[in-house]
Amino acid sequence: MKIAVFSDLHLDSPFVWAGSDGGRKRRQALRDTLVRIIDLALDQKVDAICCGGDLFEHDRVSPDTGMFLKRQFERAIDVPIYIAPGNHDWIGPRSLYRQAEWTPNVHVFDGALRAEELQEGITLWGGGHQRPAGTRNFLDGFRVDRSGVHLGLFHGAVLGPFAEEGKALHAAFDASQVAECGLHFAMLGHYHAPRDEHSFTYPGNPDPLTFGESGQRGVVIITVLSNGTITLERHVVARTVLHDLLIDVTGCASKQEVLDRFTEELADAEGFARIRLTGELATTIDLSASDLADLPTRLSAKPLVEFAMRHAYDLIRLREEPTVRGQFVRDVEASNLPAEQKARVLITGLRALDGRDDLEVA
Amino acid sequence: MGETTWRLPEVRIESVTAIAFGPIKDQTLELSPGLTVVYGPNEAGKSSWHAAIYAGLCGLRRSRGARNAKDKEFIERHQPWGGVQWEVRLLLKRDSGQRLELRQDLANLANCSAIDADFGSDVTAEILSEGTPDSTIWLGLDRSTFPLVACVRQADLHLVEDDADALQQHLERAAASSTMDSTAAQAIERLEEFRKENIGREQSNSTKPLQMAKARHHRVEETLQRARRLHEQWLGLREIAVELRQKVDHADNRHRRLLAIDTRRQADGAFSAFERARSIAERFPDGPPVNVSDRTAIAQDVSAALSEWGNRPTVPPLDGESADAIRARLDALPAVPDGDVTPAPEVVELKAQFDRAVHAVDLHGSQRPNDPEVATGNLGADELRALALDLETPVPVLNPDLATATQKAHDRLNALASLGWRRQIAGGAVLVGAIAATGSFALGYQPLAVALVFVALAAVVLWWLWRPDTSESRLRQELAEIEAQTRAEQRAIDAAKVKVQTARRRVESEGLPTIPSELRRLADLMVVAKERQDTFDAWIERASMLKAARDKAEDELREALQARGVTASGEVAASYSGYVSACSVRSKQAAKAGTRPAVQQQLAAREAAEHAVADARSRRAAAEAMVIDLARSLALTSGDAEQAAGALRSWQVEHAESIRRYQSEADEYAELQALLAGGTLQELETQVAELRRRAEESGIRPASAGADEFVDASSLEASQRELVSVKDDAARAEAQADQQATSLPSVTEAEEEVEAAAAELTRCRRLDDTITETLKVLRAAAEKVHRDIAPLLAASLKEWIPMVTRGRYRDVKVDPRDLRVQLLAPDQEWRGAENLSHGTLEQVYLLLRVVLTERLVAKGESCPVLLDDVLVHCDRTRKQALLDVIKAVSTTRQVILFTQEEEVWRWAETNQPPDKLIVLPGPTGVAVT
Repeated sequence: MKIAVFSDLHLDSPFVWAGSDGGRKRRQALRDTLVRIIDLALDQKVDAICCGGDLFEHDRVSPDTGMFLKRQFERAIDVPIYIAPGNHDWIGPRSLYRQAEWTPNVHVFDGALRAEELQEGITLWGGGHQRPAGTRNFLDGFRVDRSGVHLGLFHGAVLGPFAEEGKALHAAFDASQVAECGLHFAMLGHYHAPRDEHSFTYPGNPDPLTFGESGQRGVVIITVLSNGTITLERHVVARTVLHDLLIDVTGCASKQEVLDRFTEELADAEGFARIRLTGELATTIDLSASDLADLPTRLSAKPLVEFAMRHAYDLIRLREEPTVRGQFVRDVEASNLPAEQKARVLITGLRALDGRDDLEVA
Repeated sequence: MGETTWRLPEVRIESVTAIAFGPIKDQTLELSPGLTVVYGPNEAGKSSWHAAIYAGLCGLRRSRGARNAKDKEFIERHQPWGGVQWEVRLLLKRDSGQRLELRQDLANLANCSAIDADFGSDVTAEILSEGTPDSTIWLGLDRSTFPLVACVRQADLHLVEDDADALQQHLERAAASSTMDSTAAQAIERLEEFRKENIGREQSNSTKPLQMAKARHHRVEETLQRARRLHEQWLGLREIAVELRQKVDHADNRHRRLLAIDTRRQADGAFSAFERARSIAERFPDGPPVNVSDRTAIAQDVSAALSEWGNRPTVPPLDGESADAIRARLDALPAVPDGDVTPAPEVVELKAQFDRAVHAVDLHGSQRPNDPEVATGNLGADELRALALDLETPVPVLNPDLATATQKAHDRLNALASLGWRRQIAGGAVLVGAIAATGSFALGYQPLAVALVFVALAAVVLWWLWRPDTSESRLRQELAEIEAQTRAEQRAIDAAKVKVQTARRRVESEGLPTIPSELRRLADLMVVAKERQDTFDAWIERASMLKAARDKAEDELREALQARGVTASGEVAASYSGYVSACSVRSKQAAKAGTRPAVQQQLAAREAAEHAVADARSRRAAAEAMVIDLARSLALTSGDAEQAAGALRSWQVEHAESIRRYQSEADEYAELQALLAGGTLQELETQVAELRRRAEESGIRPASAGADEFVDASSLEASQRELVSVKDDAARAEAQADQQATSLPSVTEAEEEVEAAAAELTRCRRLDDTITETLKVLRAAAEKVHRDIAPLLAASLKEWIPMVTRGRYRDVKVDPRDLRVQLLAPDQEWRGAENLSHGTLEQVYLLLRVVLTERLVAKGESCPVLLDDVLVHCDRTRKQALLDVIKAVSTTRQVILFTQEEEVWRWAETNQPPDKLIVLPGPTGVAVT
């Protein structure tokens, strides 16, 4: 049988970095991605669709999200859809899962692992978070109670070398527990980075949530044979691209040259972009983030600009200068200020001594 | 030139060669290590050589993008007038002795290089700046700051002339940075202004970015809290709606179940009805049963006859006194008497009252007191007691002391009268003696005067000794008081005597004894007699009252008896006795008359009994005749009444059975019609099949759980009501939740707003921190540098000033706070630089430029100074003074002076060597000296 697995869509999630208008577009993009997930499942003629949790964000869920999900799941009326709520879409009395009138093909797991027979000889064990935090390991004390092939579906953090940095350990478990409790394979949610291992898979967030995401995230089509053989096939369903671009401003003699490079770099870019300015910026150039953010592009929102370039002050020479400027450079460098603030103070003071008005250093 | 005691500069440009530069091609200038004067008229190429030296030292910036304005201008001005080659070479000697050849290929900057002229090694990398070699880096400068530090233009001197403060500002700029763009004070002011406009303070009334960001953050944070609260409320409403929806499902299931049970019951009932209808129909294949109601009238007659027969009366037996005998006895009874049969109670009570009144009169009469004695005389007991008291009145005696006191008072009055005339004589003697003595003394008869004085004194003694012990008026008052007391006592004695005599005459006139005790005894006897008379009068009054009461009781009894028809003209007691006796007689008569009702009742009962016997006999005969006649009419029996009745009863039983049988058949047939309800048996069968099908569909089986639950119309109606009620509740809850959803703010967007506001607030605060910290460090740096540089400037100037001013100014000081320069004038007054003459000010400026050059370049290096026509507008005196400065400066560093003035040229000629004069040719050729 074939199963389409996805997780961590995070409908209604905030996108602070995208700005007000960009945030709305990103949230719509998440919905569009779910539409494509259902399309893919129907095209692939899967026997079941599994969601590993964090389908939406309970604390932020908008009034029409329930109806949107219902309509999408209704499109796959002949395909059983199994949902294992996570720490963001935990199931409770006020949960969307309890409030929507799902079509009969939708099954939402609630609490400890519970068996659903996918087909003869293949059993799905699913569980759901009932609180936003503090959910215990689903596999502790669990053991399958029948023969056949057993699949797990839940939202949890695998421990050990597989753990994803910066993620809270909700319903944390050890990878070895999957086999120890009799499961042949676990379909998981929580970690956003995609990962396929012998005994489990994390499909990853199918649509970008932030910059810097890598790997083939999306939907995993799992083929399960009656002898327990399992094969995985990944499909990318996101349409939105988050560009992470570096622009070296070294050698730019004027602001116009910086802007030209910026425009050139983003000429064909669509979606969203984060631009890191690197290299050495001539001291004569008065450049602010708004200069770049307001440039016309084909992006869906203003680019996120990060100033990571050096300012072309020759500090070695300046600190030798027997002037107030030289003394200032020496004093700043000798101060106990944090490195970032030290750099800002240095550039600010040097600009002021140069008679410049662009005294805010990004 | 003058003496060469000063040390030669240790860094110098030995030569500059313009391979191709502006109008110059393949020419070289060899420069002196001290002063080099480059002279040439206009258009001789001085500016080009000046630029060539700069280009040779610094080169041009090599960049990927467009050039800046300064570079563009330089290129436009100094590109060769022909050919593609554009190159300058410069031979430089450093303090360390190193000789370097700088090759600046301005047409192809990649080919620029710096080569060690002695060893041939490439040292380009050491001084590479922005892609090309820049030898000023060794000086701690660069191609942008070198002109500011080492090149002095004629315009700079003009600036000092025009603005007296320009010198100090230049010093401050130079102290601030080698670029001399602005002073530290200006930088600090700029920072403060920037903070004021772009950050502001965290005050509620501020409209600057920091406060605005803070307010915005607070505002959007509140919006977020509200959004979360409304979101939670909305989820709560949704939860309630879901719960109610579940209740609707439950109620709906319950109602459907009851309907199913009811349908099953209806199907079962309909099937039973069908079975029943089919069973009945099979028994009436020919239609309805035959009616037997035509014999009903006969059955009613039989029933009536048998009823009469069954109820025929029995004839009772009669015995005892006949009605006629009783009637005779009744006629013999007396009538009921008139009048009382027992004494009336009110009469009896009046008789008792009368008896008590008679008894009271008799008893009072037996208690009559004795007759009282009659008192005599005109005096009462009280008068007798008063007379006795008067007779006993005592008569007082006059006090003898009063007579003695009266006599003594008269004697003292007499003695007082005799003393009066002796004192008058003594007084006269005193007066006469005094007058005589005064007269004698005045006439000179001293002894006589003395004797007369003694006589007067003796008279005074006598006058004193004869003074009265009291006054006459007092003695007369005492005498009057004694006489008044004597008269009062005499009047009391007279009054007592009159009182006794008066009482005695009154007693004697009544013939009574004058002894007071006797009079008091007589008074006591008069009191006792009075009391006895009062007692007798009271008895008489009581006796009269009792007799009146007795008479009244007698009258009332008499009236009562008369009211009862008794004649009571005589003794009322006798009349009462007669009344009582009459009552007794009437009582006995009444007893007899009282038996009449019982006899009358006995008579009525006897007459009724005799009538009933007669009636019974008549009714029995009628019943017998009825059964016999009816039996005969039905041809059942003969003439015996008992047999006829038996036959009629048999007939009646048989008839009742046929009626019952018909009724049963009729009921069944009616039931059939009711079951068919106007239809046919086949139609009924079809209806039953439909109901059974619906019951099967409902899923309720007769044996399933709850199938036996009681369901009727009321329970169905109740479940329907409950279903409608919870549906309404659910619809309201859904509507409420949907209504809230329409105005539900987005939590996500509110969070994004908060994050954005927080980022802006963080930016403002970070900027504030940065500016604050920058100001703090910059102020400290400015203070420290000014403190350091001020004495250095002062010391350097002090070294030069006496020489260049030919001893006019001998001392210099620089204020570390603002670097203001002051010179010590010949009059020993400190004078600010701004107050100096133009000539002196220019000298000071030039010196300061040189000093600052030394100060601003890297330690251990000496920077060449390029002067571009700095003397062109000076008069002879000032020009000479400045040339003296330049000459002096060139003893410590290389100075290259470009000039177009012949005066300077001639001055330079007189100073060679060690200085050098270069005369640039006009368009015709080159002349180098």
